[in-house]
Order: sequence, then C-alpha cells, then structure tokens
Amino acid sequence: MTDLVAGTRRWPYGIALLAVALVPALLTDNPYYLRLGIQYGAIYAIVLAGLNVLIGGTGQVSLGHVGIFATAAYAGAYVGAAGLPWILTAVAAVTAALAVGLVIGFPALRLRGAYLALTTLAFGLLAIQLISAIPRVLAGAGATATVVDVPRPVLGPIVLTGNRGYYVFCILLAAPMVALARNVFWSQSGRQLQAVRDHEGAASTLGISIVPAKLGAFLFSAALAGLAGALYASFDPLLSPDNFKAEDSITFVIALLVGGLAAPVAGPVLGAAGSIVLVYLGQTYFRSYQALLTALVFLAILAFAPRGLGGLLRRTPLRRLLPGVGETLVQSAAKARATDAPRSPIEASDTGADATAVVAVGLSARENGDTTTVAHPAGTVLVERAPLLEVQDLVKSYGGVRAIDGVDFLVKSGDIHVLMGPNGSGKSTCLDVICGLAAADSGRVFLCGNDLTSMPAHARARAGIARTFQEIRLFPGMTVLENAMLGNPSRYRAWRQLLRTRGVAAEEREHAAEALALLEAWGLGEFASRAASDLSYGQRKMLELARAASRRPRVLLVDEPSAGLNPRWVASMVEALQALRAAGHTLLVVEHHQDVIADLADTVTVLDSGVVIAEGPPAAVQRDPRVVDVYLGPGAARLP
Amino acid sequence: MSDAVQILVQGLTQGIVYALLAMGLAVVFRTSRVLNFAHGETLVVGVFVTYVLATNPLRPLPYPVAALIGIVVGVGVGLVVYLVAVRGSAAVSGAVLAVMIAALVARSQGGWVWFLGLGVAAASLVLLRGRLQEGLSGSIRWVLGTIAMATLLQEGLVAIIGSTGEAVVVPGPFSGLGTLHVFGVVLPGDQLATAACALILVIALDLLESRTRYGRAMKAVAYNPDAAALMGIDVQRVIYGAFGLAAAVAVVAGLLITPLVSPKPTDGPMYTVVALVAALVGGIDRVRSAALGGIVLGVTEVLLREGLSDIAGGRLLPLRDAFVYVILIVVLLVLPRGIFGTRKVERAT
Repeated sequence: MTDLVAGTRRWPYGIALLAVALVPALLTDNPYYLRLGIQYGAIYAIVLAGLNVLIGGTGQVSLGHVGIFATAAYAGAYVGAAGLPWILTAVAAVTAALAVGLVIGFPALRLRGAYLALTTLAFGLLAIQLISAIPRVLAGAGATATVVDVPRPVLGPIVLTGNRGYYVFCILLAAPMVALARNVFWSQSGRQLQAVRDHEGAASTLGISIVPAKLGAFLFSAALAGLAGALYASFDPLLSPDNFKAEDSITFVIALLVGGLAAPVAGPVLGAAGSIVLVYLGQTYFRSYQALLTALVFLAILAFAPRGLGGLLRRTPLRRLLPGVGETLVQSAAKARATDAPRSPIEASDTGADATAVVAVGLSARENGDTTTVAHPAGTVLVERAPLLEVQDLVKSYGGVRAIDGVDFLVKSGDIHVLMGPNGSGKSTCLDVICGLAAADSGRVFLCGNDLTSMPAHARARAGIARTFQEIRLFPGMTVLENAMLGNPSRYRAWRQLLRTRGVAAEEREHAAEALALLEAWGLGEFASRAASDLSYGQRKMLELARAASRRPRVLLVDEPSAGLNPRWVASMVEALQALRAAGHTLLVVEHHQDVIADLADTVTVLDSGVVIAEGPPAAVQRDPRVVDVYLGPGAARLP
Repeated sequence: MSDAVQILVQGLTQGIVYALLAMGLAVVFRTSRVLNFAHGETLVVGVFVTYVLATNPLRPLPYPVAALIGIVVGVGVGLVVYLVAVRGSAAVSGAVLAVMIAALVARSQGGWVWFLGLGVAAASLVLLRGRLQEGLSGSIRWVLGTIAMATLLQEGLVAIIGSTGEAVVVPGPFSGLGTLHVFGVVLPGDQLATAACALILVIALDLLESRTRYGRAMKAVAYNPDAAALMGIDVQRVIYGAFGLAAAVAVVAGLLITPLVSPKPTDGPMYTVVALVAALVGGIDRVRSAALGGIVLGVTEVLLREGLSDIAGGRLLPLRDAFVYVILIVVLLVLPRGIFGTRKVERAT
C-alpha cells in the first residue's frame, strides 16, 4: 500500500523550475530585464509564497502586506547602512516583519472577511505613513526617510554589485521559500489551516487550536515579506517612502490570484512570472495605462478564471505529460486508489443499502482483531463500564432563553446513550456545551473523572471528545481523503512539517494509507480524490462520522445521525453506529426518530425545555407518562 | 472664543464632507452587507462627467442638466459595479473587459502581437469558463471585485481625462452665495448651503429607511435574502435599487463637496477610505449613524490638527494623517458596530 501512496517523484520538477528561473541570468546582462526579474520575479515569489499560505490556506485576506514589506525594508536598510553584514540586514528585516506581523495579526484574530481586509489595509496605510512621518517628527520637518546605497550581500570574495549576480542570489533564496510554503500545503498543518478557513468551529472539534493556526500563518507570511523586504532594501540604490504604495498590497493579492490562490507552487511562481510579463508589457507598450492593464487582468481572472493560471494549467494536456504536477502526494495517492478500487455499490445506486454491508464488514473486522483494514489498529478503547462522561448541573442561556437549565447525566463506557426531546429542548445545546463550542453559564463536564469545564473546544477534542454536526461540517475545499486525514493529527511539530523532514513525509504516506483504508471500510474509498462537496448527503454524513470516529475519541457525540436521510440510509447509519459500539466506542447520540432510538439506545435521557424529565432504558422511557405528555400532549398517556 | 468656534466650524465643515461621502456606503451595506471599495470612484466619475459636460468649450450644458447626466452615469456605474463585483455576471464582466481592451488598443503604442495574445487569452478564458473549478467564495470575492472595479474606473478616467491630476474647479451649485458673519465667526454661504443639503439628504434617506416599505425590504434582504424572497420581496430589485441609490447619493455628495475639496481623477481611493472610516466609526448599518460618524471624524481631525500644531512646536504634525487609520483600527477592534451603530460585525466565532 505504501508504494501506491508514494506516487510520483517530484523533485526533478523543482530542479527544472529553478533551472528555468536561472536561465535569464545566462542569457542577458540587460539591467532592466534583470531588475524586473529581481523585483517582480524573486521578491514577488517570496512575498506571494507567504501570502498564499495566509490567504489560500487560512482564508485571511490581508491588504496590508506592503506595510510589513516596507517596514522590513527600512529596518534592513538602516542596519545595512550602518555598515553591518548583510545577514544582519536580513535578520533585522525579518524581525521587524515579525513584530509588525504580531501587531497586525493579533487584533486580526478577532475579525474576518471584509473587516479583516479593511483592518489590514488600515495597518498597511498606517505603516507607510509612519515611515515617512517618523524621521520628520524626530529630526524636524526637513528630514526625509530616504536611505541610499544599502550594501549588497557579500559571499566570501564575491560582492553582488551587479544585477546579474544579485538576480541569481535572489532566485536561489526564493526557491527554498517557495518550497517551504509548498510544504505547508502538503502537510497536516496545511490541512488544518484549510479546515480553519472552511469552518472554525468544526476545526476546533478536531483538536485544532484556532489562534496558533491563524497567527502562525500570519507570522509565516510576515517573515517571508520581511525577507523580501531585506532583498529589496539592498537592491534599490535609493530607498524612499515613495517606493511603497498602499496599492502594492492589492497588487500582491492580484498577482497571487493570477498565479492561482492556494495552488502550492503555481500560486507564487506563476504569480511572479505573470507580474514580470504584466509590468514589462505595461512599461513597454502601455506606459501610463499600466495600472489599467493590471486592473483588467485582475477582473478577467476574477470573472473567468478564479483559480488563476494554475487552475488553467490543470485543464491542459500538460498534466498528462508531467504526471503528478499540481497535486499533493496525498491527492495523487487518492487518485491512484480511486482508479484501482473496485466499484463500490454505493455509486451504483445511491441508496446506501449495500453500504451497510461494507461498513459492517470494515468495522467488525476491526472488532475481531483483524486490524489491517482499519485506520487505527492501535486504538484501544476503554472497556470498563464506568461513568465515562459526566455532566453536572449544566446551564446555558441564549439571550433571555435558558436553553438548558440544570442538566445532569452520566454516559457509561461502551454505551450508546441517546439524548431525546422535542425541538428546542436543548439537545444540541448540550452537545455544544460538552464539546466546548459553547461556554456553559454554570455546571461542569467531566471526562474520565477529569474536569473539562474550563477547557476550550480544541483541548476537549484532544482530551477525547469528538463530534458530528446536525448540519454536516465537512471542509468543502478539501478532498474526501484530506477530510478523512484530518482525524489523525501529526506527531511532528509545525516547523518540522514546514521543513518536510523524512519522518514527516513518511508519516504523510502512512496517514494517507490509513485514511484510504478507513474510507474503504466505510464504503467511500473510490471517492477519495473527489471534493468533499461532491458526495451525496448520506455519504457526507458517513464521512463526517468516519472522520470523528477515526480520532479514537473516548466519547463520540453524534448530532441527529438520521436527520434528512431516506429509510435505507437510516438503516446503514444505524448499523454503522452499532458497529462503532461493537468496536468499543462510547457514543452520545442526539436523536428524534423513535425506531432508531429503539434500535440503538442502551440508555435514553429525555430533555424538555432544558430539563431532564426522564432517564432509563428506551422501552421504559417511552412509556414514561411525562415523556408521553411532552410528545403527544398532556393526558395522552391516559387515553385507551 | 471666536477662534475656538471658528475651529469648530471648520471641523463641522470637514465633517459634513465626510458625512456626505459615508452615506452611500451605508445604503449599500444595509442592504447587501457589502463594503463597496469602488464608492469613491463612482463619485469621481459622476463629478467629472458633470464637469466635462458643464465646462467644455464646444457645447457647455447648463449645470443642472450636466449634474443630472452625471448622476445617471454614476447610477449606471454603481449597477455595473454590483453586477461585476458582487453578482459576478459573466456577460457584464465580459462587456466591461471588451470595452477596456478596446480602450487599451486605442491608446497603446504598438505591440500588436501582444494584443493578439491578449484577445486570444480573453477569448479562451470565456470559452473555458464553464469547465473551470468553482470560484472564490464569501467576502473575498466582492472585496477583490470592488477593488478591481475601483482600479478600472480610476485608470479608465485617467486614460480619458489625463493623469495630469487636474483638479475640478467647476463652480459648485452654491458658489454665488456670499459669506455670513455671526459674532465674529465667518460662515461662508456655500458651506452653509452644503450643510443644509447634507442634512436634508440624511433626513430623506433616514425616512426612506425607517418609514417606507422599501426601507424595510432593504433590512429584510440584508438579514436573510431567502426569507425576504419568500415574503414576496423582489430581492434582486431591492439590491439593484440600493446600489443605484448609493451611487446617486455618492454623485450628489461629490457635486456638493466639489467646491470645498476640488477632486482629482486619482482621488477615488482617498474618498473611499475616508468614507469607509467615517461610516465604520459611526456605524455602517444606518445612513444617519454613518453620517454622524463623518461629523465625528471631521471634528476630531481638525481638533487634532490644531492640537498637534500647538504641542512640541508642531513637530508631531506629520503624524496627523496616520491618526485616521489609528481611529479606524481602534473602532474596528473595540467598537465594531460603530459609535452609533447597532448591527453585529462579521467576527470570528
């Protein structure tokens, strides 16, 4: 299986790309062309690689990166002009960029969408204003912020005074930066960023901590903008505040869109190449209409090719000539598997009837100790019938309404515990409060005797709580396989994933193989390479459940598993849940459907108006007069 | 004493300019939850159409006629911005692109091969469109879309009028009025008239929002377009109306402030930013709170200017422009609904 997942070797493409980028230095000594190559090629590629992780990865649109770039360039220039070695220039620039990145990134955590874009825009404008204003404040009205002749880097005996040498230097520096950014997209960290982009709440129930993810992406992009600033500082013989305009932030974003947003390599590389062409065309043929040309390309991309040049290239026969270009290892593994896989019965008739067998086989195989086909053979689950999850006196109000008002119950290990009750009785609120997506006003939540009450959602997820949602929360921007892999966190820290060490790459393959096996066990194997949004409703529900179960949670919260499903899918869902119990999982299920409850539940807790009104085995609860009152109206129990 | 009052009057004058700029943004946001980054350009285009029609030496039109045409053109621009940037209409986007390519060809200096390439690229994009992957989703689309339209409008205007940055010195509607002296405070008549018009505009738009079916429909569409449609509201018409109305308000505002600020073809982004700051400071969900935000911003700015020139021998004066952005950042983070606003801002959950 591992060889299947390994896919195509891709490093020759990288070398070839680097070689192509270096060719201009051999062909020409024309300072104008080399200047274009340095400024709009190498420097842009570095900035775009960072922005791609930020915008393509976490979906945070920054319109203020020119502020970071300019601040970094100035920090570098002042250090360089003081006669210090170039490496210190770079260090100063990156440090300044990280500092500005923190100043922008921290408040930006609280905002998103247009408000984030606007806040970053304001920060960018502010930074540019300050760069030109501060020297005047410090040294009087006549002072300027112009810095001249920042020294170029010195490599041993070679001083990179000419543009040719500096171009080579910049490209050689840009290549590893693009590779780093690509590694982000090829790692579990990258998938986590995209999960945060698609849905923060669902991401946190998978154990993803939102703040480090967003801030990390911001700082990564800031650091790259800082390095680009350092290169720019010692490139331009005359650094003045006029070199930086607020529009440049927007130009960065346009260039990234031209290259292809979230395309790991094509985004920055084709974006930079496109910028060179655009600037050259503009300056050569359109002179004063250069900005018009840029705006036109921007609009054309937005309207007709929102995935940029990278997206267009995916559509060309080039893909067949260069196997594996434009997809991650995981994606090619999924594709390889999908073409190999026997046709699943689900596709033939999307009823789910036969899927049952597949799911049941996969999971009972696991139960019997035949662990090769399931995701987490090592997943030992608690078997003692002790209280596993305990909630005490939970209260949660929304506005003036007490959604739950002092709820207590115990979930025993190995049980399917059903929460039932009429609409608005507080069932889903219970799940939200238990998994930490909503904070309880008072009351406590214990898991295996540990108090989770003060933990945020991602910490509770790591402590062993997983959940599904009534309104399915898959991440539509990712493939089915990538969604499945999100259940399985990486052993490696983010910086090692960034460097993509041998261990990380091996783990990626291993996790992809496991996730493929998981999908096959759940009858979704052949859809591995499809976008999650392509699945049918029932398949999406199954995938969400499979993903949650693959985390090997101590308790799995399942919100309305049968809602919206046709009877045959309901039957598969019931069997899947029973199979999970048989495999040793503990489930807390919110459910309406009486037949489903009768089939599944070991224990039922009935909620009404936020209060527990009955508890016990399903048969007893269904006869309880208070329950009958609630469901059929007062007095119905006494009817003949 | 009269000095202080004079400063206050200056601040109010500045504030009225900002208030006029902010109103249109509020109309659009209230209905569609879109921040129109092309607002300033719509204004500038309308003003320059009026200016050219009213002052061209060949056949100058009377001012009211020119202004009316300017407003109509502005409304057209507003609708195109909506169709291209927010709706993502392929037909309108294609038409805009075709016009722009034609304009570029007409104005370029050689390079025909590249135009051929450009045309082929554009045509293949259009042909490929159906097979492309899904587009950008959420706010990123319209943020970038309205910015793209803003750039197109600005550069288009520069291409036609010239980038010399020639300011409009067209007489405003009230240039004939004299000045009023009240207790030693100078009150120029045209500024008073502008203020009066701004007030009338705010009141009219506020009444439209709160007292008419259309106003309630705007709010309903913003809250939940599907539910609004089920209630019999023609959602698209309401949104068209909001963008058209906002563009008309923008051009009227532009014509009113022209004598005070002399717009240049490249001033669009500045107006957009100032309008965004003013509207967000006040509260962008209602015209009157956005307008109040403009007043607050104007008075603050003038007070700040006076204050900064008094302390430290004026050395802090260069920081004056930076304060606008500081105010915006602080308001967005601390008071995201604005000082006078009510609606929740889109924030992280």
